[in-house]
Amino acid sequence: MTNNIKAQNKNLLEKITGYKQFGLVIGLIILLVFAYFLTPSMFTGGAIISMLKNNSVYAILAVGMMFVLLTGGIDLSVASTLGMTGVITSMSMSSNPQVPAFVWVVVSLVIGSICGLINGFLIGKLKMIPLIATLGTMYIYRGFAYLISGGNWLFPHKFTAGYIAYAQGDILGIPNITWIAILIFIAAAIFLSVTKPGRRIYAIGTNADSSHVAGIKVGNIKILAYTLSGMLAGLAGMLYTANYAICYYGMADGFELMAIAICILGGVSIIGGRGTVDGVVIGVIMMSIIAFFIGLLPGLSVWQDAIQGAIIIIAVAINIFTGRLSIKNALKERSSLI
Amino acid sequence: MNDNMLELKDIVKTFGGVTALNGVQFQLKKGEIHALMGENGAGKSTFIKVITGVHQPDSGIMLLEGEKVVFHSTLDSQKLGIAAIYQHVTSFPDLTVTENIFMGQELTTKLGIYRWKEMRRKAKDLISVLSEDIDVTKPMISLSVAQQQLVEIAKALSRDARILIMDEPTASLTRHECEELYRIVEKLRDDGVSIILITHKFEDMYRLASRVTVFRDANYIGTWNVDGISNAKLIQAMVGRELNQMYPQKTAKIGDVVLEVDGISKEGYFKDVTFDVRKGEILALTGLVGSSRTEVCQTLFGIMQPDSGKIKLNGKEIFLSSPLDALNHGIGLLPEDRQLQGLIYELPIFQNVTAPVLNNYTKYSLLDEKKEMNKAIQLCEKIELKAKDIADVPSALSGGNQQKVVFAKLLNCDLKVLILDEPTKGIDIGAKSSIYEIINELAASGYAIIMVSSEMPEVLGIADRIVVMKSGRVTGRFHAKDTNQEEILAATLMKREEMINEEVHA
Repeated sequence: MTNNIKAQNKNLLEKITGYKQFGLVIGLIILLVFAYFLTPSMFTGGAIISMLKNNSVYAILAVGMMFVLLTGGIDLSVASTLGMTGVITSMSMSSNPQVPAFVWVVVSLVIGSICGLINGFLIGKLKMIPLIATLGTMYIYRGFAYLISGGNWLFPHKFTAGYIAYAQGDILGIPNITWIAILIFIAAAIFLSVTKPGRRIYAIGTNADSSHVAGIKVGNIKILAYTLSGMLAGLAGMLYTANYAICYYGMADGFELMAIAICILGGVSIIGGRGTVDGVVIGVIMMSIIAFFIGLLPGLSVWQDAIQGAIIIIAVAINIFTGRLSIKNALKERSSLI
Repeated sequence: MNDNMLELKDIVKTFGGVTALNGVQFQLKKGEIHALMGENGAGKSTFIKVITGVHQPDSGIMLLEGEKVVFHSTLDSQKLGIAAIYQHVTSFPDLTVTENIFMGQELTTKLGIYRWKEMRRKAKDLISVLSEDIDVTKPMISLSVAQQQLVEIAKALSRDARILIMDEPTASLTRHECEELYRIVEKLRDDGVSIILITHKFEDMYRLASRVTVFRDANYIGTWNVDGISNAKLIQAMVGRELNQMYPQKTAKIGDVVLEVDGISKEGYFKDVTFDVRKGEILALTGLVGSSRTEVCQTLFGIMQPDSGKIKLNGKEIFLSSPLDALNHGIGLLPEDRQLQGLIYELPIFQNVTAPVLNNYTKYSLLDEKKEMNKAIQLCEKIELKAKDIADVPSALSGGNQQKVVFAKLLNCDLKVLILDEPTKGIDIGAKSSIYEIINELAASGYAIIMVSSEMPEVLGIADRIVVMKSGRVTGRFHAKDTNQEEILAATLMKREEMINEEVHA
């Protein structure tokens, strides 16, 4: 009876190989080596900066999507939220150029949160299936984007310098939009690992019934997750229009699927309860490198979508395999008790 | 002032058309251990869910220290110091033991930031009272079922409960662990906690409780002082009639061995399981929760594949890679959870019955509904199904009759071996005996039957032979006519060291 718990003294190698994202990191390294030899131009400063700029919106959406996926849900409305919010902030900005650009950041967060809150209400309170609820709001928000914009485009000369700077400006050579994405990643990592609502997002995704019995208001946690997803999508809308200095109601079409793909690539479970921010970071980096890399290779760019799709499937296959392995290990441990 | 900590009066709870609690009452004194007993389906589990606020009663009142309370959720009951340990472990498999203990009442700073270190330390303190070899930083999934149960207990202890409800806390514990638990429960009582103990084991009740209340078929039967009650009286209160009438007279002639299980093992579940079952025989597979008997059945039905060992049918080794394989070999399973796996609730009864063998009912490759109905009616008459219309949906039927539909479905396939996983679970007493009759008749008509059951009287009453499992190993084999409840119970509780000794001797 006295086999006390062993102190877990792992050496560095064990720590590295024991790291949950070990497989993903190896995949990323292989990808980088390939990219380095096939397309050296990818590793010039300018190319990297433009890659960062163009993928930061995906990164922000993916963080929001991760919250929702962790609860066991899905949010198809993020790209429409992005579109509607972008239309509202940039159109308001162009008709009120004297208002400081910071105001539009706040406005985008508020509008996005409202969109997310509506999703959360439908799913957390009315118990609608997330796929259906957000499919509906996906069309509604996109429809509003069209109504508000009147189908008109907004061109670069209408954008104020202050507004644009939120995405295109830089600190230490790195674009502001990327800094914002990095801050969001850090905040999300802290939120999910050490805060009560953050941990509860995992709990309800792992076992909603147990959470209910444990006294957790499952519906409210869902509302929180969708609101956060919406809020980040709203912010992404403002930043998207600032980044490209352009706005039209159909922008970022299909980005929701990209956000989901990044999460899946980063090891977030589509049935909830599993996934980490570092995984999503790696997912974003991989996805952007792949896209960039393919774009640079002559003749391959027509294959871009197909190759990205294939990589998602391969990544998930690897995930399933490693998942089975870890369950097997857990059972082996349990076997010692039989 | 009265000395009742908790009092419930005239509690009624119905689910759809089924009455789960029919005006029951209960009184819990301060610092008392009060046992609540009754057969499966008597309404005990629903009753605790009413007390903890998981379910809201349709009518009736609940008084906590003399004051009327209404709970809208478990949060409400927790706030007033009511904690429950549920029979089915309700855990978060991916999260650590620490988080499992504190989930719902996490220790945080004012900003909502986890105080991980403190939680881990407290979790370690709580767990160390119960067991010395649970690592609180490990994910729940890596623990054995018994260890998971201990974590659940630690979770309830962590809530500083004034009223603690334990739903079969000793079901998956070894004797040694039971003793430990008794000690802990007694200490809690001495500290002033009032405890409701739901149990099937007389031993638990005699050892711990001062009073016992019995429910039967959703009704309150009575409350007695433990000092002044006998087993016989309690059993009669629980069952409502003499036990020996429950089981039919055996009529089957036992023939040759049909299915032979030879030393099958599956990592993490069971090891070296060997038994056989003959034509016309009913073999009971019993054991406590966590003994892996269900997993053995799933293996025989092709849901799981063994790592080693052989399965032989009529002397020939067979490999079952899927349930379809098993069905093609003539092995059928009546699943434990008929609501999830046994029936399709949206389809009419007759379509449920014909679902597995639809090919038999086609005309020009199209389904012939009339043919389906006729066959279904014929089968349902055979098992005396009570239904208004063969085209009704199964949810309109009582639990016992729903189970009969599952039987009809099995009969419709061309089977030799029937695996029945808890065939009378959640079925009321009256319907139970008719299920027993069906099982007996099936044996008589030549099926080899493996019945998984936790209910000792049922096992003794209906089986020809009994195989007992504990923690994934076979710990006892008995002929039903020359054994008794005590012998079987001893095998279900056999300790690991004894098991290994047993093997050496054998």
